[in-house]
Amino acid sequence: MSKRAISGFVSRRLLVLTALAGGPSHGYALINEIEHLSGTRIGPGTLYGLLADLEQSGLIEEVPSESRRCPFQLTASGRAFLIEKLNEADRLVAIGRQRLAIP
Amino acid sequence: MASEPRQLGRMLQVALRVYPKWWRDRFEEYANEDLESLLADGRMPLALAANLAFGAVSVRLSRWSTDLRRSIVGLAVLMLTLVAFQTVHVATPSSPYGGAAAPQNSQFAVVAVCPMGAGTTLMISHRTADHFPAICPSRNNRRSS
Repeated sequence: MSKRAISGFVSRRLLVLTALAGGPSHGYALINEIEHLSGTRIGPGTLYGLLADLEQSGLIEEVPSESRRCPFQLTASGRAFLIEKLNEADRLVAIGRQRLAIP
Repeated sequence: MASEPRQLGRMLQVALRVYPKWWRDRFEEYANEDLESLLADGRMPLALAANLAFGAVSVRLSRWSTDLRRSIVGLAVLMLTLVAFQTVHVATPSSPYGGAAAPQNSQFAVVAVCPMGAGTTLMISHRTADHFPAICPSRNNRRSS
């Protein structure tokens, strides 16, 4: 499956959280990381809408920085949420592989 | 916004102004930085402006209550149905040359433009300044120093 096809399956919010799992990151770096991860080319309009939603949900927060680009990072809730979603995905993958008899 | 003058295209600046005030206070400075980098990477300004415009509409709609959004969507569907009915099923007078005459453009325009105008007015007049009052702590420090 191509990266482009993967991006259709995975929620963009999950992509942002996964991109932030590696550590604090600012908008431009996130845009590039998400493209690298999934092939999805998002713009700043999309990204900051997602960041606002995730921040309001308490899943990410800003990191104080002297740079003009303020990085964001996962909160404890965000990390727990991402782990839960990845575990769900793992279970789904296991079931799918079992039903398709993939070793 | 206390950001320095930027060399962004006018199209992008206009697109950024479509966002609500709370969003601009919160994210405009960062978005400006990202836009400059993306333009330097060779991204098309038109695509970025379109992305910003869609993002602005999405941000504005996301702050509305579910009931209001449903009402607007319902109204839009109703109006689109009326437009479709108007253009497809309403008989148009015969042309003196034998074929069908042009659709009744003035009525079509009224039916099509009114809901768009009402929606745009609602969107622009909606005040969401009390959302996300906090800004980046580092920006707070910079401004106070």
